[in-house]
Amino acid sequence: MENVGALSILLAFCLAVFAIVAALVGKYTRRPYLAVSAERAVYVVWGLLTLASGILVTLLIQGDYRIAYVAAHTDKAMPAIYKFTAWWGGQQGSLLLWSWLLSTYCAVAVFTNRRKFRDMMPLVVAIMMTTLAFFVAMVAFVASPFQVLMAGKGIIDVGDGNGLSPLLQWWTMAIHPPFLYLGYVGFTVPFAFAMGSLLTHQPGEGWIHTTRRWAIVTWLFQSIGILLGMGWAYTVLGWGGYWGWDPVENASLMPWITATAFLHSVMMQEKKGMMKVWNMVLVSATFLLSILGTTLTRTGLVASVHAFAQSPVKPYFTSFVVGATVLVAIAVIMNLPYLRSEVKLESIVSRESSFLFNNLILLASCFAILWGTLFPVVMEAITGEKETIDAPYYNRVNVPIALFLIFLTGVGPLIAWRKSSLSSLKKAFMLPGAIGLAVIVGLAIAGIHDIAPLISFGLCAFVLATVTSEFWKGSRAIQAKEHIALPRAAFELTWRNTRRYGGYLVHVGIVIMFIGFTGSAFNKHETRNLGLNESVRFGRYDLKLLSVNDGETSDYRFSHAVIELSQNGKVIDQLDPEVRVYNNSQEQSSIVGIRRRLNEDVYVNYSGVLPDNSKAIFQMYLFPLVSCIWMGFWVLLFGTIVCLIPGKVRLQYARTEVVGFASAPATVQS
Amino acid sequence: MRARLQRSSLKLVLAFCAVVAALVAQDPTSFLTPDVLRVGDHLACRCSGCRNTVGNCPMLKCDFADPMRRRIYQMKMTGMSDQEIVNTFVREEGTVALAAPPTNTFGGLFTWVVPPVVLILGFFVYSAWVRRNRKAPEPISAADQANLERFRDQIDGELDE
Repeated sequence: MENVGALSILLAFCLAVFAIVAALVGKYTRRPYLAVSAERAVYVVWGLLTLASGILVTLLIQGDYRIAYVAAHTDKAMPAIYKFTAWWGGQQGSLLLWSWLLSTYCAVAVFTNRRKFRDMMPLVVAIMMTTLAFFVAMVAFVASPFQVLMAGKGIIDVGDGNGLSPLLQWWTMAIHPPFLYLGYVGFTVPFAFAMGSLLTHQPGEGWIHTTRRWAIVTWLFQSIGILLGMGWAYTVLGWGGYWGWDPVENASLMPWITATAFLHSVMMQEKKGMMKVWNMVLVSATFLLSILGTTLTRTGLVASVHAFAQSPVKPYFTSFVVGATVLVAIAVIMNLPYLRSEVKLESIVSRESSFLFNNLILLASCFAILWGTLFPVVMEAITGEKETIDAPYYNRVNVPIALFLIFLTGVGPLIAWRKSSLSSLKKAFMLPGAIGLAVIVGLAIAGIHDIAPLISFGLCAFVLATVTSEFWKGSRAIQAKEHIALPRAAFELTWRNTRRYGGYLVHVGIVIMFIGFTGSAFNKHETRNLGLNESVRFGRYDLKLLSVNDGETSDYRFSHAVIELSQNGKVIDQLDPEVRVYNNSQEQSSIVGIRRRLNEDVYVNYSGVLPDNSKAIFQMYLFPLVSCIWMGFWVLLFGTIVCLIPGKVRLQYARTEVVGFASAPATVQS
Repeated sequence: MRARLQRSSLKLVLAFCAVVAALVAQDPTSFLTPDVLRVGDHLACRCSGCRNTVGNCPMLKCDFADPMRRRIYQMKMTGMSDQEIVNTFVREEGTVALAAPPTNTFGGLFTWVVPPVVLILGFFVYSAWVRRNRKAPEPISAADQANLERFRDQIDGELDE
């Protein structure tokens, strides 16, 4: 069976190369049948990679321990679901998953555009298949998941495998990588359409209309992937952290930031024909950062808890990223005249200008992260001097940028398109500004004196007030006109323009998440040793150790503690932290006890016992407002789905501008 | 003079006893004093890619952070200041020992300075772009201004939808 899998991958590679050649030859020698043949090859590549993936999953679930990948990432004791998720638990399998997902995206993109963009599609196919051919080549020739274990000239069956790291045997971690990959991989499609449009000088913004949903959906996948990773870290790692500024985490955040900037600035091109070069740069940067992220994860280029070990794919990935960057830069520079803006800016104080400014700040944040991630590698290569860049650097650099971004999130909707007068700005800013200030003053009186959290809470209130006033004004207008109840008017308002109001909901989600991030300024942590029936005071709570039970399953040994949580003498909850040691790997893993509430989480990690077995060691944490992060995510998810729903009113983005005046009435050009 | 010497010797003996007692005890929590955690926050924990500091590394028996905490504890017992302890680690291991790049080396300073410099450059590029792409305002009469405002509202409405 493994031979069929390996052959499928090899054939997929050959057909991907055929698709590239056929698409380009078909396009430039005007042979449409070759271009069509290239498109059909895309479907066949998908079929072959689906077959290879199916075979790998079957081998994993059956437990065929002749296969090196199966022996390295599964064992007999693992539940079937984690045997399935071992598909992406190692280097080779995850590269196959990446290739399969990309081929699926390619097939869907080709199918949905089979009657459109006939002039551009061969190039789109060639670009997508070049990316796919690279990944399939890695799976076929460098990191094959179908290698068998050999002893001398014979194949051996080791009987049982090493198993998957216990830290990865968790439902959020089971689905976190596929979501991230869906996000990473997805941006290949908008990138290919953007490049195709650039190279064939397509009139209008066809590629934007076609790929807008792709961009939003892949951005959503990236968001879900990142949040799942954060949720996993919070629940599993035993220290309550959800973001450690690890290079691999940074690698997932950077394309998300550029994608966010792209989703904002693309509106300028769609509505006003502006910022064409910028959008081309952003969509390319997102694609290249996605590949860079994969490079960081797979090649061991930087030290990370997430990265796979040093692997032979490193030079190929590095060459691909560098080569692609150079080619994209050449393509953009050579076609600059095509990307000239159609409309000029009327005023600095305008929505257009604020979009550009927001992009600038987002990119600055992305650059700071990229710099912190790659600078130690560059520095060591040049000077031989090692340097560590950890959380203190990222927090110091990114917190001010993030605060400014929050401010811009609130300012954007208040500024009119083209030009805002001082009086209209004053009117728009008055109430939200006053609410933001009131929150700052109120919290300062309540005893919060740290400047960063105060500003953050104030800005969050400012943005929430801005968005609420936008909903309020629009809903009231509809209510007055149509004589319907306010909630129905708000629904109607959102449905009429799902993109705009869905976008506002996404902003609300982000702000709620920021409230959660700000709460971390007030985290509390203590490590205490407790004997049986011994109590300890922690914050407003009393924690009493009721029992400790040891036991064993087929997979691991465990020690389970029961802790009674009281407040003001009244028992309010019971926490059950557990520590496990897995038989196969001897790896230790924690199951933390968490009492989740909106205002704060009580989080207890059972770290083990003292050497004389007299007491158990517990790490206790209080995390104020951390639930806002997960709640904000649901709002973000809802808002993004709203954005994807077609609006009730079909939108026509008229390129409207005032071109002159007659005595009466003025002329409006559409 | 003699009494002072005796007092110093006594202090030294007491410190030594405390250090020995702490080291003999294997309880990793006994080193988690506020002093140790404060100093540890300046030092990077480098256990297999961990991005925490020695102060906030959550693994009590961490291969890297635990011995570091013990050493910091010993150094504190002998009366060293926070800065002296940090300097000792930097002398032994280089700036890689620090959790954040130092500001007194070229590489460290470069790390800190580049992001804000890039941001400032970005502002310049932004203003240059705005200047180049800005339409010159045309002189219009008061009556036309009123018309303009009316149609601007209409255009804004269309753009917002």
